[in-house]
Amino acid sequence: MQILIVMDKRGDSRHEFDFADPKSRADAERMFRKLAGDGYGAIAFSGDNSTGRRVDSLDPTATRTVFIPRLVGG
Amino acid sequence: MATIIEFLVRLKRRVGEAVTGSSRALASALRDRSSANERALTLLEEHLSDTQRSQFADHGFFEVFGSQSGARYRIYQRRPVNVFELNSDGWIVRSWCFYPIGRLPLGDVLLAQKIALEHFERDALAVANEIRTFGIRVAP
Repeated sequence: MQILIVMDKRGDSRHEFDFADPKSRADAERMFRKLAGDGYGAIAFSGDNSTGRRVDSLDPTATRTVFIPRLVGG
Repeated sequence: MATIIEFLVRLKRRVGEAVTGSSRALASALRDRSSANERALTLLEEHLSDTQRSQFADHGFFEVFGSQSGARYRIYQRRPVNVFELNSDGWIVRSWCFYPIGRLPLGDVLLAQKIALEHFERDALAVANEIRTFGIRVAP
């Protein structure tokens, strides 16, 4: 199982999916595209959560993908 | 006279209900915010390295290195200006102000800043406001 973590005003919301299951993966891909379209950046982590990599689609090797909203200057 | 008294009794009851409802709503909002803050801090701590976790616990900040420049940044647990670029001697050379949109709890803001600097530093700094700073040394 993999997990998509989306930052939000409640802290985050988490969505588990199974990359090996076509329907589960399709749902996750749809969610990824929606978030990317809304300006979220995605970082995939595998094992060590302190070091990730920027991704623009689901990464089959990731254990978790964290989505951060678009950044703006303050 | 009886009508006026009945009116005042009803008014008092309604005001009481409104105050009680507002207090409950406020208490609920505060509980939600506290829960969101705790959740965000947990998510942040899950993504800190051992060194960063120690810095954060001991000093209320952690340091990251820019993915493209290799520059050293210190991210403090506060708002609004909380990202400082340090030189090799530990002096602040710039402050950077950027954050993710949405009313996110502080832990999420800190994690977004860390992830941005460690993974897409140039993009993050391209939108950030820069404040040049000279002559300030920060401990430790």
